[in-house]
Amino acid sequence: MVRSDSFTLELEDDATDSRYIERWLLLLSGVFVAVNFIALGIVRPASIPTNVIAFIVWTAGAIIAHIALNRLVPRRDVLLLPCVMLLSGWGLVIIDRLAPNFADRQTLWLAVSLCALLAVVALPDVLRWLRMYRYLWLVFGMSLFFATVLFGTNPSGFPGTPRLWLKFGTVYFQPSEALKIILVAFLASYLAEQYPALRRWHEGVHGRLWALSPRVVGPILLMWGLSVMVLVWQRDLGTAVLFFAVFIILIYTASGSPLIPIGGAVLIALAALVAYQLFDVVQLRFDIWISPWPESDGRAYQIVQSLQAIASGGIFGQGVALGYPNYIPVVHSDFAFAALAEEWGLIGVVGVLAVLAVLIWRGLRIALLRQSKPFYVFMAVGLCALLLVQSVLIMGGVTRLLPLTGVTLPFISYGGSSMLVSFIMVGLLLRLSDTEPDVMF
Amino acid sequence: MQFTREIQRIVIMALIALGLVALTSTYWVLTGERVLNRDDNPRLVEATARIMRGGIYDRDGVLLVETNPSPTSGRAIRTYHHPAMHSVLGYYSMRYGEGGAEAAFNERLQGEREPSNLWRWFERYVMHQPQTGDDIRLTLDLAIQQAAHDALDGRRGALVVVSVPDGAIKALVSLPTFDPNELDARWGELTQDAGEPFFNRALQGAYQPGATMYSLLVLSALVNQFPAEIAFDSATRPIEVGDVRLTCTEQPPADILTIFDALTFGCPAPFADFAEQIGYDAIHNTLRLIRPDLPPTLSGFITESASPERVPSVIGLKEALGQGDFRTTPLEMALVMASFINNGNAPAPVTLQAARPAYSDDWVTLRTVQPSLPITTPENARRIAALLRQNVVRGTAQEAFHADFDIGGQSALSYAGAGVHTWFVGFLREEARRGYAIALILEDTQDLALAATIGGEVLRAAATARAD
Repeated sequence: MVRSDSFTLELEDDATDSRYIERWLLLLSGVFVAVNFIALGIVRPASIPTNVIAFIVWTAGAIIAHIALNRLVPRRDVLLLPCVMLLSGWGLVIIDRLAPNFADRQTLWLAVSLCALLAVVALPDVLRWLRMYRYLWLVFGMSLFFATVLFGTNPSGFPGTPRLWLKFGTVYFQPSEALKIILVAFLASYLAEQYPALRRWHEGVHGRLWALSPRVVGPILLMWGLSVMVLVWQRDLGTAVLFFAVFIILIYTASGSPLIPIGGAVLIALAALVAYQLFDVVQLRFDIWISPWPESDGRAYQIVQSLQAIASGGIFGQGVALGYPNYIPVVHSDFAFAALAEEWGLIGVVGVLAVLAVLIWRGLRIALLRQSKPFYVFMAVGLCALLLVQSVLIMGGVTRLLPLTGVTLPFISYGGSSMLVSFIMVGLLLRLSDTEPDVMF
Repeated sequence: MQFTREIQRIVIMALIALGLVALTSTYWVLTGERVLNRDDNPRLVEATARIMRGGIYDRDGVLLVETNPSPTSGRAIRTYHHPAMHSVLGYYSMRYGEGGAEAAFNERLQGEREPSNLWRWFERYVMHQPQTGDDIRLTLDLAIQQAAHDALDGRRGALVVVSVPDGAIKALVSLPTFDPNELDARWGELTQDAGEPFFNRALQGAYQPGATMYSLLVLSALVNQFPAEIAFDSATRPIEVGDVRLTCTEQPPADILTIFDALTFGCPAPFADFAEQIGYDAIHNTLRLIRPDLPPTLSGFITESASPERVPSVIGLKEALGQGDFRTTPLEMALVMASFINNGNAPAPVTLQAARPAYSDDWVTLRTVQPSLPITTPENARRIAALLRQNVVRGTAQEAFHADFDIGGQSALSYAGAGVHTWFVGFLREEARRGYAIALILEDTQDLALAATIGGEVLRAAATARAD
């Protein structure tokens, strides 16, 4: 590899400028988080010790991550870390406000997640491992899934609730979260090899036969089957929809055929129709989506309370800890976005959406920049699709744009597994974004 | 590049999806009023729970009820300080609404529902200051109320003290009552209580007037210019009215009495004879003079009687002697008594004296002169008052006598089915057209002396309180 000295120097200058940008953005995020913790402390003095600990951990995490990333991935995308730190800091405030008993645990998960992010960035061959051993990862993922089917539990302990967690001592872990990354890695690896075949669809009969060969279609059906299994065995509508949607997006990226998203939408609609007939949980979610008001005191209580929380927030919000989001059952997990809307208002909603948009845009920009390595493209698209679909599913459910699916809002909702996996995804994006000079354009 | 188009489309789809979430959120914010005004919105309850209702003070500014925010939840806690005031103040409950004075002045105590100016709007919706109500000052006097409450000593009954000539209610006691501080916890038990603690006997209790009717018969005689010198034979004979046998309350010195003497000794026979002579229509007309068909209103309080048809269209001997279907309330009797020391005019009763608007330090006087109800002429009133004074000196209510006070009154029995109630009605006159009137009823007792004793004590307490 030949580099000119002036070109190297120019890149180093760019990297230095970028670091300043990241530093300033982190500082602004810190100010935002600090102001909100202070506001929370004023309204609820009892939360001050937890607030202080959480803020110290957040600040230390941001500083350490910034310094470490400067060394490990100096040419990374500098907007990714500030975006996730802002969202996770905001999430800490929300959890501390909604469920103080869980605040310390969420703070601990943030620390663990940041360590995981740095570990992913630091491991030299992580992307290669993901690509080379995709079937091994898939077996591991499926093992986790079947372990959940057999030994799954629910932290709430209520009978009849989905048993989506595995318990290790006092720690609960949701394998479907890990399965998301494995799904993306597997598909990315597979599509990086097979996408030319998918793109031959337009090359006449021969191309179509090639595209429909078992070698091409088999793994696709495998992933589709996985989604169905998640729905049938675990009654986990959100994860099933998430898997399938991400799968469709990746296949579309690989094939370039607009028929894929259209067909995917039709399949989702058909699956919804069948699932509505077969599964109570799906029937419930659709019924209360279509008509929540008559059952506002019963089955639709949660969504009605959510809508009232959003309406109550207005444009400017009620203020930190000055609303009543705790009337929404499980608000700290599935409905954190409604709580945010009530206390930070429409301004807060737009803020979160904007940050998520930036995060996804920057992630997809990585895919645009790394087109010489299709695996990187599919990884970036897949990880962004995961963040996007999961966010839209839960925010859409909370606002009644979509039926409720019971997934977490990345970085904000309470949930260790979710936060850990979300940070790992960002770690992977950071690795993908660490552009080498010979592929920059 | 080969994936550029697809990635760009995904970016556009992502923006559209996130934009739709923003638009949906905006929709709920813009249509928020419809969603928020639903009954199932707990925020409405929370907002109500945080309303800082105004305090209630007695006429001298003694704090009777106050609201403070809970240090933990921020919800308002209403505290009632004086048990003697419980029956008149009523209750305020998130679950069960309001009663008594709390209900009568609810709107004022709650404060303005929507902020009246920009600063209030800012305080309410930006600074999250709770809705705050006005303080009110009642005409009730804690000292008099306390004296009445203590004198009744938990007995079932009611008592009203009215100031003359302004009609200010100085005491209003109804027993049994309840502790509004424990209302929510004891609601079920209280609603099942046979003593009906929520029923305000002073305002709504419909009782036969019993022998207090004799004062009205004397009034009828005066109005109809019945000759005062006409005496009736066999004045001490008992009168059978249905299952009830009525006799003289006090033994008179002779068996021939005028109705004026009969009033002093509480003898029914002369009144029965008088009613036969003058005719029941004339008595009916006198009842119409005091307008029992139009019970006195007491700004906001429920004064509708428990027995709506209190004045039968046709009256007979039972009604004339106060034991029939004609019924009256203690408040009404107190106002009739007040008219006897107020030139024959019954003052309009009032309980609200002043209000202090929220965020203000200044009290605003609210009492306005209400038209009084003319019942009889000043001369007739003076003559009945003189007769009632005789009652206290040597008649049915001697226990109310006190040498230092000008007190008139009457004790009387009222036979209500299986039970017997005892009345004391009277007044304490301090100077011309100034004093206090009282009506007291004790349920399920025939102790006329006790009623007179309590009546006298409370009237003296009222006079002493004003002197203080």
